[in-house]
Amino acid sequence: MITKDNLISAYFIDNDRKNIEVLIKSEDEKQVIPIIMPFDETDSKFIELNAIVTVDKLHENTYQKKKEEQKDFEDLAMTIAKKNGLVFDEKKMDTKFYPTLVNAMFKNVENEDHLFALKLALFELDKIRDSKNDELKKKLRQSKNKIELLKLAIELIG
Amino acid sequence: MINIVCTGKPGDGLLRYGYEHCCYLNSVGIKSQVIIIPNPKHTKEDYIKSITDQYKTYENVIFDYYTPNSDEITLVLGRSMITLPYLDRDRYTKDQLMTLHLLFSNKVIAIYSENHPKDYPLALEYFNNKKVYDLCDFDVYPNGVGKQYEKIINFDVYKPIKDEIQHKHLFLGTTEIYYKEIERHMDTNGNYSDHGIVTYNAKWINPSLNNLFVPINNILGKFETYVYTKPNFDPAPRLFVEFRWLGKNVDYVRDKNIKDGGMIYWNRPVPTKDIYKTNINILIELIKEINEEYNIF
Repeated sequence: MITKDNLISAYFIDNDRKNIEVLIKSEDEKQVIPIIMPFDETDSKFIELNAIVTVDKLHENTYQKKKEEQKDFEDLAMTIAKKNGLVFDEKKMDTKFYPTLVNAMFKNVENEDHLFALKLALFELDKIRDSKNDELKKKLRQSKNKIELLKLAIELIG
Repeated sequence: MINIVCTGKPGDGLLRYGYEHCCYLNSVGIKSQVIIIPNPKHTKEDYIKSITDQYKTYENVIFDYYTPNSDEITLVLGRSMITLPYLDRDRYTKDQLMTLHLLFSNKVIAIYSENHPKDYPLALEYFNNKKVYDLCDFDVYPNGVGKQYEKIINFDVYKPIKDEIQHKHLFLGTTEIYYKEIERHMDTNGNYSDHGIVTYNAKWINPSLNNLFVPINNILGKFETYVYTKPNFDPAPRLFVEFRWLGKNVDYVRDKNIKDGGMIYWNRPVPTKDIYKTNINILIELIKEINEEYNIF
């Protein structure tokens, strides 16, 4: 029997939202018991559940569960990608980083999206953002290629 | 420097609240400016006209391009000022986007609103925001967050209103939803024949009605009565407060059960200098606290 005390969670398990999984604690509270039931307002099990959990809450739980699953998946993917050197670990830079850095800086020098991202990253540096040299900062914002941008950034920091 | 960012439309209340905050903060020695990133459908001139039509001054307003230092504070009069440019990011120029990124990645003071509850956190993430300090009118948003703060009109900076009545009833129809509601009232009430509907020249307007396109010079002086019809959530109404301030009539014909700023502002007194000052001091205290936290003097 599903009660307020033993209910852990309840959510839809299919995209059509026709079936619900309910997780309850066993009497000794040592096990989690899953119960699958149809989303049928005439079904006695659903009526029992609905007395404790509204349909809105079921939808909300489903949204939250999917969000958590998505995050777990992304975290796992990132861990594997970092382990295999497919993405950089910001906290652990190694020598593999430099060829990519060089490519990023000296290839595609007029790519607008790259330029934008590079300018933003440079403005994250307090020495640049808080520099009193407004003229150079203006030039940096207006620069049209990465080489010019880097020269200005070095001038501002130097 | 306090950078008050406006990404709304020239007819929006948030532009006005923003400009009024700017005037007051400067008047008490807190250097402030309004930074307007025009809505892609409007021009700079629309915003300039909106401000110059209504206020005694036009100062400390800049458009599109600004590079703030990290010790500056960004103020938004509603969270939507951050969410809207995030949602419309593909329609802005790179320069505008850079300004928005630099402003919103700084410390932000945001007045709570609930227009886009799911997109707002995404917008903060997109702009790489470091910290938000919330203010909230809890009468309007009981589930909001932050320190209690009301949006109050600063009538001190208004141009004198010239009495030049042209129509009896004023309606605000600046969105399709508001406009449809006004049409419904027109159909059911024959007393509104002498009217003016303040709106934009959009495809959803009814040409058989008397449409007046924003911005309208001396709008408050041209009507006898404001008919408050807004059918959806209204967090901080201005027009009926302005009409009451002028001692003019207001017809509250919308559903009185709508729980929003409508009834809350209806039951609040017409703002005086003291009321304004007491309220805005909450913001000033917060600015001081932030400056102390970051050792900015």
